[in-house]
Amino acid sequence: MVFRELSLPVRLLFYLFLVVAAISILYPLTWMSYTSLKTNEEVMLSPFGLPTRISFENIAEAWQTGNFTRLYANSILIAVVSVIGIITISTTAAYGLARYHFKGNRAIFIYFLVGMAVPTQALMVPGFKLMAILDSWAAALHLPIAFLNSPLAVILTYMSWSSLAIIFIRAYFMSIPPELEDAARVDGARELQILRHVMVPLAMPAIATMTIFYFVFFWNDFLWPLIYLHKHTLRTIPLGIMHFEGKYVSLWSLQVAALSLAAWPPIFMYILFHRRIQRGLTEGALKF
Amino acid sequence: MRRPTLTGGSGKGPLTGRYDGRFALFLIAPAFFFYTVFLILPLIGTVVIGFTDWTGISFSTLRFTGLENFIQMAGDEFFWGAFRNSFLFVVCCLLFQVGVALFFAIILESGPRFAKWFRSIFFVPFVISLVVIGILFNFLLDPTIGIVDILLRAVGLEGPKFGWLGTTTLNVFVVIAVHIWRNFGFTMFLLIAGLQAIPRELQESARLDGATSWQLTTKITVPLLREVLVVASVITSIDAMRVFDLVYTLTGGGPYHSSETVVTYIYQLGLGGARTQHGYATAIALVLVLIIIGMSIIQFTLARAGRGAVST
Repeated sequence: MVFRELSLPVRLLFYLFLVVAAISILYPLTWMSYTSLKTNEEVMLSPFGLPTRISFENIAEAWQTGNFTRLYANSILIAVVSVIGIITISTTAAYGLARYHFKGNRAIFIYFLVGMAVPTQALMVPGFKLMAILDSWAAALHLPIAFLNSPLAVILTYMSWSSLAIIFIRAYFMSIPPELEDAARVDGARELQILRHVMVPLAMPAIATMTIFYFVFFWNDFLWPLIYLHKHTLRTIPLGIMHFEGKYVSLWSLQVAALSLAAWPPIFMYILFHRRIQRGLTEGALKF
Repeated sequence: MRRPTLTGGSGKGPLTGRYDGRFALFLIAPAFFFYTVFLILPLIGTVVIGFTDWTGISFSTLRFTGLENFIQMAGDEFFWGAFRNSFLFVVCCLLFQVGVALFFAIILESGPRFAKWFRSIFFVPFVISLVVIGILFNFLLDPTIGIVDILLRAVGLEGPKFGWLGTTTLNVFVVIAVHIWRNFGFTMFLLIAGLQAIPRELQESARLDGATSWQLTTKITVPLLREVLVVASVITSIDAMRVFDLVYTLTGGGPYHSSETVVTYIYQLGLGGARTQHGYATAIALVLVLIIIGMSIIQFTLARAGRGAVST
C-alpha cells in the first residue's frame, strides 16, 4: 500500500485517526506536566486551563514531601546494580555456551530456556518465603545480612531473570566469525582477555540492547519492591508515588506534581535516545 | 523474514574448536547460580507449596493437604471472577491491541507525512511506569474532577454514577482500555519490524498487476506478516494474562473483587493486607504458570506452522 496513491478522503480519514490517537496519548501527559507547573489557586480555579505563569511551588513541595531524593537514590541503586550484575553474568554465560564444546552444553542451554516461559509474578509467594528463610539462616549464623526489607532481595530476584539476555547475547556471539578470536589466541591472549577485549566489544550491539531492555523493566517494576520492601526509607519511585497518593488524597495538585517527578526523567531519556530505546525494547521482545 | 529464533540456530553455530569445558562452566556458573536459586527454586516451591497449607517459613510446619487447595479454587467465586477478568483481558487485547497496532503499523509504513513522529509518540507510554499511568488515569477518570466526565457533561451526557472505575463490570473494561492505550504502540513496533522485512518486490509486482490497496493489504501484506503477527499476539496475551500494576493502581481489584485479575488475586491472598493464605495463593499461581506455559507452547507451534506456510 502506498499512501500517496490512496484517494483524498481515505487519506484524510487516516490522518484523522493518527491525530486522534496522538492526542489521546499526548494530552494526558501534557495535562500532567503543565498542571504540576501551576499554582494551587490556579489548579482550583481552572483545572484544565494552561498556567498563566510557571510556578515550581508544587514540584518543589512534592519533591520534599515525597522524599524524592531517597526514591531516586533507591531506584538508581537497584536498577544499576541489577543491570550491571545481570548483563555481566549473562554475557559470560552466553560466551561459554556459544563458544565451547563440552558435554552438557545443550542441556544447560535448554535449562536456561525454561525461564522464558515462567511468569515471574507467579513466584511471588515462594520468592517471599525464600527471602524470609535466608533471613532466618543469616540470623542463626549471626551474619549481618538482611534480605527482606533490603534492596538485596530485589536485586537477587532480578538477577535470576537472565534467560532472555543469555539467549539473546549467545545468538549474537554465534554470529561472530571464530577467526577473530583465533587470531587473538595465536597472539597469545588468554581466554578471559579475549572475552573482555575482543568478544565483548564485538557483541556490544546485543549487549547494549539487553542493557536498555532490562534497565527499563527494572526501573518500572512495581511488584517485587512492593513484595520485599516495607520500610518507607527503601521505597523505589513506583512505590513512593503509590504511597504518595494514599497520603495526600485531598491535595491532588501535589499528587500530579509527584507523578511528573516520576515521569519526566524517562520521557526526557526517551526524547534523547528514542531510536535506541525503541529498538532495544522491540528487538528484545521479538527474540521470543 | 530472517531472524534468529529462540531454539533455532543452536548447534550449527560457529563453535570454535575449544573443548575446555571447565573454563566454560566457570563462565556459566554465576548465571546458573542466580537462576537456579532465585528462579528455579521458587518455581519448584510453587509446585510444592500449592499442595500444602504452609503459612510460616519453618519446614516443620509444612503439611501436605493433597488437592484441598484446588477443590477450594473450584468453589471460590472470586477466583472464577478473577479468572474471567484475566480471560477478558486476553481476548480484548488480542482483538483491539493487536488490531489497532496492525492498523496503524500498515498506515504508517505506507508513508504518510510525519510517520516517524506518530510512531515515536505512540511508543511514549510504554517507557513510563505503569504506576504513574494508573494514578494519572485515576485523575482523568474521576467523576468530579476528571476531564472525561467534564467533557461528557459539556455535551449534556452523564458519566457512570459511581465513576468509571467504581462501576462493576464496566471497570474491567476501563482498565483494559488503559492497558491497550499504554501498550499498542509497542505492539505496533513489533509489527512494523515485520512489515519492514517483507520484500518490496512482491508488493510492487502485485501493484503493477493492478491490485488495489485493499487487496494488497489483505492478500499480500497481512499473510506475509503472519509469523510476526503470531509472535506479537502471544506477547500481547501473555502480558495481558500477567497484568498487575494497572489493576492495583486503578481499582485495587475492587469494588468487592469485581476487577480482580489472577495476579492481583494471588497477591491479595498471599501477601496483601493481613491475609496469608500462602498455600492457596500458590495453588492459583501454579494454575497461572500452567496457563502461560500452555500459551507459549501454542505460540511456538503456530509460529512454526506460520513459518512453513510463508516460505512455501
